[in-house]
Amino acid sequence: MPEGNVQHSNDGGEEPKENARRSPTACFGSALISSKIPPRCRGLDGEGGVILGIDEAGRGPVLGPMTYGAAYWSCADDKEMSAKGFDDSKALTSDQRTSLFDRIDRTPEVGWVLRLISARELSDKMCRKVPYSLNVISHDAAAELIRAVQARGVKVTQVYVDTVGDPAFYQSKLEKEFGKGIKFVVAKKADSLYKTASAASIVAKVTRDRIVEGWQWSEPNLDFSEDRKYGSGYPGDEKCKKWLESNVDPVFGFPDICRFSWGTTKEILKGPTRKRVDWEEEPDEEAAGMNSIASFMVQPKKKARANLFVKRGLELVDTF
Amino acid sequence: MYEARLLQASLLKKIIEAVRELVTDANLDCSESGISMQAMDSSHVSLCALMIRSDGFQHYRCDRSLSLGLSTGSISKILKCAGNDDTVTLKAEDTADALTIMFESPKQDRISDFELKLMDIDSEHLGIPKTEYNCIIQMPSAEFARIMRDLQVIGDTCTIACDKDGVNFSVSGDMGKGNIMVRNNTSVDKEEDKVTVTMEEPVTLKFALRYLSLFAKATPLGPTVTISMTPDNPVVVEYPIDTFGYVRYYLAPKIDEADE
Repeated sequence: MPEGNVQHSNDGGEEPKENARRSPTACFGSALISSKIPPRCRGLDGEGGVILGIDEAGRGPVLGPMTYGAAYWSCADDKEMSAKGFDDSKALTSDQRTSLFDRIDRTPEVGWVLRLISARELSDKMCRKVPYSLNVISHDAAAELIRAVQARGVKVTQVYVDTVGDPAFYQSKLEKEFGKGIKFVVAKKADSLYKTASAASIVAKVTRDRIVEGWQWSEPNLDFSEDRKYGSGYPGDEKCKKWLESNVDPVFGFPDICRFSWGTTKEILKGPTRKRVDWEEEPDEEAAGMNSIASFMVQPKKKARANLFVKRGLELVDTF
Repeated sequence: MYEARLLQASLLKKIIEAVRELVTDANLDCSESGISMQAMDSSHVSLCALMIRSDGFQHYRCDRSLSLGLSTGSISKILKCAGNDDTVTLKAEDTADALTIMFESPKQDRISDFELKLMDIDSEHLGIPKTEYNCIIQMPSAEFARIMRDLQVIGDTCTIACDKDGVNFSVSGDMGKGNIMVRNNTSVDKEEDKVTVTMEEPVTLKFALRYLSLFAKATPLGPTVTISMTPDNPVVVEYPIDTFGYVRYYLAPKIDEADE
């Protein structure tokens, strides 16, 4: 993970060590990054309650991490903070986002916390035999953010979440987990409706973009620094697809910037030039002296996907 | 939306028990025509193919073909929770990551719901070639199960020799030999006690007893079993599921070391 690309201020040593070891962020280059806690959000000062917004960035791309951000401030500061011009990150230019992110980081009343879900972690979870779906990963990340803020003594009372999947289901899931103390609003486009969610979307988006732009390759034998032409990272982007196709290793597939659970990568990995790895099993004594039953059967014909879909890059999706 | 209601949960239980020890994970392919499954054992020497046609269900609805990846051990555990006379309903959303299994008691006074997580199972559907069989043997399934059990005491390879008079199952091992002859027998009271051999040419093949006795786990499905053989080809052991389906097992023959 490209440490140092992310501008972050760590609260340092407040999180119990043991907790850190158990947390899922400890592996796969994932991380939980946090700002300083705004003094007015702490303990007794947070008497009036704290508003927190959650949004994510990088859900669709095949490259780089998915980032889940939360931004929060005391209810007492809400009026003032809401006037700072935070908006849905998608409605802003890259420069606007960067300057707003700096503003967020320089405003002591605003706290933020970020969960980096690396491409490796996504691959690991989504390629399991019992797949851990992207929606569930998202839901768990949101809960993790709230818990991380609570663990530092912030009394969260209202949470606005940009939905992933069905809002009602997501909301009831969060309510079940956190009980009655927090008022949850899970909605579509929360990132443009609620200012805390807008701020969260900026934190998430800027961090993700910086990581992808300044990606540091963890593979010691690979040097892609000359060849960082992977475009937007979205599977629909021709530039990105080309980059993937020309940088696939015949045995190991892709460097770990890449999500192996994405349709695009799976397709390329199935391609004809890739070397197949057979994981040979110990010779089976029970099966001695017998041919494989498959050798008596007719091998399945691969049904080609209609050209119409391939050319237009249409894929079957079940989440939006 | 997928929904299939089977009057007897016990039948589904028998079907799963018939494959559970041979196949640990498999895709249940649900389509408009019914439920089918095809899977190899872990050593890839045998193949199990299962079909339950939609007309066997009391209610059947399949909006879109689905492939439900299941652990046979897990579904077996759930099916053990069904009462003897319960009906069972299988339900899944089109994009489901879980299968709902519902049991209802005959008086509708007890309804239980279970949810089974689905798995992503890589499997390729093999085409089963049409084969003309030289010998087709129909016999009582309990008789076949018993022969397999008895022969396993002596050794692990069974020679099945079939000619016009009947079938000879033989085995030899370190401690000795065993031989069980089953004759053509059509003069019995009950249809299902009949042993009939339909034969073009005599066939002799050798098989691993371990697999044949695993196939015999399907015995509770019905009173008869059909064994079809042709030289150098897999044997087919078929158990009908009532009038609306079957469980078929294919097993590669053992190659004689002298022939190699």
